[in-house]
Amino acid sequence: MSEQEKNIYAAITSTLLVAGLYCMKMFEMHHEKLFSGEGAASLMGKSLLLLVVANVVANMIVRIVFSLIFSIATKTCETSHLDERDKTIELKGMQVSYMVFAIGLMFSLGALALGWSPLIVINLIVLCLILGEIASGITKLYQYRRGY
Amino acid sequence: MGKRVISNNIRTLRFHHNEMTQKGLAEKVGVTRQTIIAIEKAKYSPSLELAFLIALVFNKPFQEVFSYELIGEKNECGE
Repeated sequence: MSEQEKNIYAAITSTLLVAGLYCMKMFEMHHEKLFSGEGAASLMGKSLLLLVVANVVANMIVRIVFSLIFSIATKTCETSHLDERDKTIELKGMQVSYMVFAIGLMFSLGALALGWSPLIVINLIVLCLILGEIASGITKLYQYRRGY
Repeated sequence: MGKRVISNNIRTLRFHHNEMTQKGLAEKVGVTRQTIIAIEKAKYSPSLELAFLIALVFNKPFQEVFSYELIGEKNECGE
């Protein structure tokens, strides 16, 4: 498994981890009726900021842990740079990510037009970002596995 | 009309260059070993610059390393 593939696995794992925790926290807050009232928008903003920071930190930690595990398992210390093929695969992943996000955004705007709560729509948009990130990772892994 | 692919003789050329490893070639042209594997299997078409670099490493003209072949159907010469 190449360095890039390890990084993709790490990114998908950390995204799923953080997204899972975020969803659990959101459901908890929803049940406690924290999203209705004056401070709801501010609370949502804080939660989203925390999500972004947590995602970055979790990604770094998972990447280090993955590198350590693979280095110990394979007894190698492989470091590699991005070459033209990696960059092409990266672009394909990004393309899929944008496509998933754009479709999700359209649905979210539709939901807003139908009268859904803006806070739920914001969460839908966040969900689309997460789905886009996962779709991008899967696309890149597929490209690496099939050789291109 | 059949499909055209960029094929190459990199495996043979490596063999004739003291069994040069894929890693060795990758280091010489500045890409990863996985990219060399993908090029050898004709699963990835390299950029023009990378293709010329590979030809330079083997000290061969470009057309002796890479060729643009028709697959799945007879070509114009009926071969």
